[in-house]
Amino acid sequence: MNLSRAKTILIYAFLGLNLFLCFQLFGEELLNPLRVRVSRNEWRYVEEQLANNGYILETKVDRSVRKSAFLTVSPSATVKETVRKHFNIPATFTTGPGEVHLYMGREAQLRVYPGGLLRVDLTPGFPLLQERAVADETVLVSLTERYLQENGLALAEIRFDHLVRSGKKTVLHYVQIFEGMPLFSGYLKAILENNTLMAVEIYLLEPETPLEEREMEVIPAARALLRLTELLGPSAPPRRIVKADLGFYSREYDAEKWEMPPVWRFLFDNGESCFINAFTGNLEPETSN
Amino acid sequence: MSERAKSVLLFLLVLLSILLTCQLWFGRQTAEEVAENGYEPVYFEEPRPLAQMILPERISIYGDGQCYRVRPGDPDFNLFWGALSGMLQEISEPGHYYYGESLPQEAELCLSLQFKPFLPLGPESVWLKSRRSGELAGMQIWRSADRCWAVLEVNESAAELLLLPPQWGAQLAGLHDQFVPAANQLCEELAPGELKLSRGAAVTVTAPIYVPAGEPVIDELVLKPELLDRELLLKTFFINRNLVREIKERDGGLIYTDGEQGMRLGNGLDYSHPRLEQKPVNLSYTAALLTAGKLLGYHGGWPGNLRLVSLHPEDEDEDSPKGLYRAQWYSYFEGYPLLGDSGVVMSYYHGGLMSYRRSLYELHYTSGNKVPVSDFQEALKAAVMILADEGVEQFTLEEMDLAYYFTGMRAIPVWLIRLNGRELILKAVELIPPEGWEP
Repeated sequence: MNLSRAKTILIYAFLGLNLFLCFQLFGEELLNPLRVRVSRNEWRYVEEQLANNGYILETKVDRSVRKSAFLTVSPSATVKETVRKHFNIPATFTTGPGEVHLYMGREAQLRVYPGGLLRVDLTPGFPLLQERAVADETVLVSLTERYLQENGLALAEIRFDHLVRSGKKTVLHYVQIFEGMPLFSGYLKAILENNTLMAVEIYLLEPETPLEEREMEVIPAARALLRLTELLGPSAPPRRIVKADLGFYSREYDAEKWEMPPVWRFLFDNGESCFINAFTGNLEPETSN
Repeated sequence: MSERAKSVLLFLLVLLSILLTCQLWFGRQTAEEVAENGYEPVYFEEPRPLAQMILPERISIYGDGQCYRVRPGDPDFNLFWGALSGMLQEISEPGHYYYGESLPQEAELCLSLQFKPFLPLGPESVWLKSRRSGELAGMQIWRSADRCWAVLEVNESAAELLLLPPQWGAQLAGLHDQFVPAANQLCEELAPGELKLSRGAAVTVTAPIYVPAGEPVIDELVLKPELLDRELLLKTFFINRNLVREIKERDGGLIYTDGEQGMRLGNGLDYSHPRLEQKPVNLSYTAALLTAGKLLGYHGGWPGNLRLVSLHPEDEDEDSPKGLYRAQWYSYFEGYPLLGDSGVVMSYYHGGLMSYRRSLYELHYTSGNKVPVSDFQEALKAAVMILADEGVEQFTLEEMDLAYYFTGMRAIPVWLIRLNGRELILKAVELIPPEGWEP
């Protein structure tokens, strides 16, 4: 046989062998983003279980394989100064019960809680619409966001999440976003009464980008939903789940720094949330501190 | 393609295929596999054998009409307890040694031991294994020349009198004869009856109490916190370390939790696991003891100067689960227990820990400050005054001894006095409660 031809054959043979070996070694990881963790049959079973226990899923759920890691966060200290400057609130404060710092301004009062929560009470409130006007969610959100923008509170890292109405009161909930994932512990709440913005609560966190090597596969949303039915038990009348997202959550700590686990957040139509730890499947917050 | 390039490419492809084959052959552990297989049974130390878990609360030695008290850590304490523990382990059939008569007139009390918690006896234990199960609260050794008798005060039953085998009798008599008391071992007996204090106050003593006599001098100690390997500690509590998150508190304290159990490191160690993983079952006294020792050994270890001081079932109301126990340990320095915010307390069941507080200290150095302790009568008077200020009129003394109290990284000598069921701690010199302690 011609030596050159033999070399060519061997090159093709080894190329094929190496491709096969690479697929055996790394195939699973390469195909991971495309992989669907929950099969159609499994998903049908989950829906059946939800229905049997009185839960109605009214949202799309991510069924792909996801990875995540603990997220290290610390309370953000930057927002306070922004708020104080925008509302012309003097830097002097008095200390109230529970170590709350109270800043008095003409346009607003600012309360700073020891854990880092800020509450701005507008004096008087800011009317977004006429008192008796009936506005749908989109209108209220857009008017509120315009106000936040004009007053330096349109924070880049927050996103509208949901709205809860209770009598004359309406609360618009925004969640903090970090690298495309919601941080449910970081939030902004706009509190309205009779279409007048009365107060804004802000609790923001400073997250640190987690190390890739600490990433682990999280439980699929289907398993989290089954855990939800186990942990909350059957519901009568049926409860509607309107959102299912993977994000981060932990209760608020009066701490310097802490790690947050990834969670599956299920939002019910009444504004209540249920957080399932995406590593352990346990209900959060449940800690033994 | 030139022949040379083909050769190089072929060589590289062969090399790559060898590398990939090796990877595949010898296995490539993914990060996930490492995380999933993270469980490894880890512990600080093997559990102590039962024979080393319980020490007598006190050993009193009698001779020449005097009473001497030897304390844990004292060579005499180890000598006497070693001999007596060995004897109780060796007497396989105590029935052979029961003495049917009363003690002879000429027999004299030479040794007395008190156990708190009780010493387990019987088949599950290492002491008097052939005897039926019981708990030894105290033991007295009486002697007449080289003959010795043991009076066993077994919990909830009549005292048992044993004539000890001759070789043990001779050994104990020998140890008793060789004992040379030190000045600080001398005790004064407070006989049952009424003890008159100055200014008309009187205290009732219901059972003989031995208190340190004279004005002993005790060293003030400087302590340092025990240092434990944090990662090892975490692995003893959390099966999968990868699921544990850290919370750094503003005061420097660190909390670790996996959402179900939590551990805080700061001023000592606090651990809590409120949800029981298994239904608790009732344990025998010996099994409860062994479980406590195992848990302590696993989660931090059992230092040499740490003595088990109590073990009992948790207070149970009708709703609380059965089979929960509470154990407590104190550190001993120079033979005296260290009171205050130190020691170990755990609540547990057969399946593991429910809560655990461990705040232990090691001797850093002796401050050189020798404290002359106030006379016991003065201390008792000060304690009586505290209760009298609260309107108490009758006083019953139950216990009185010297101890150390932990305050600001120091161990200071104190009087520990139990009056009318209440524990009072008074600084040994000033006779006032130490800072941070409230009567």
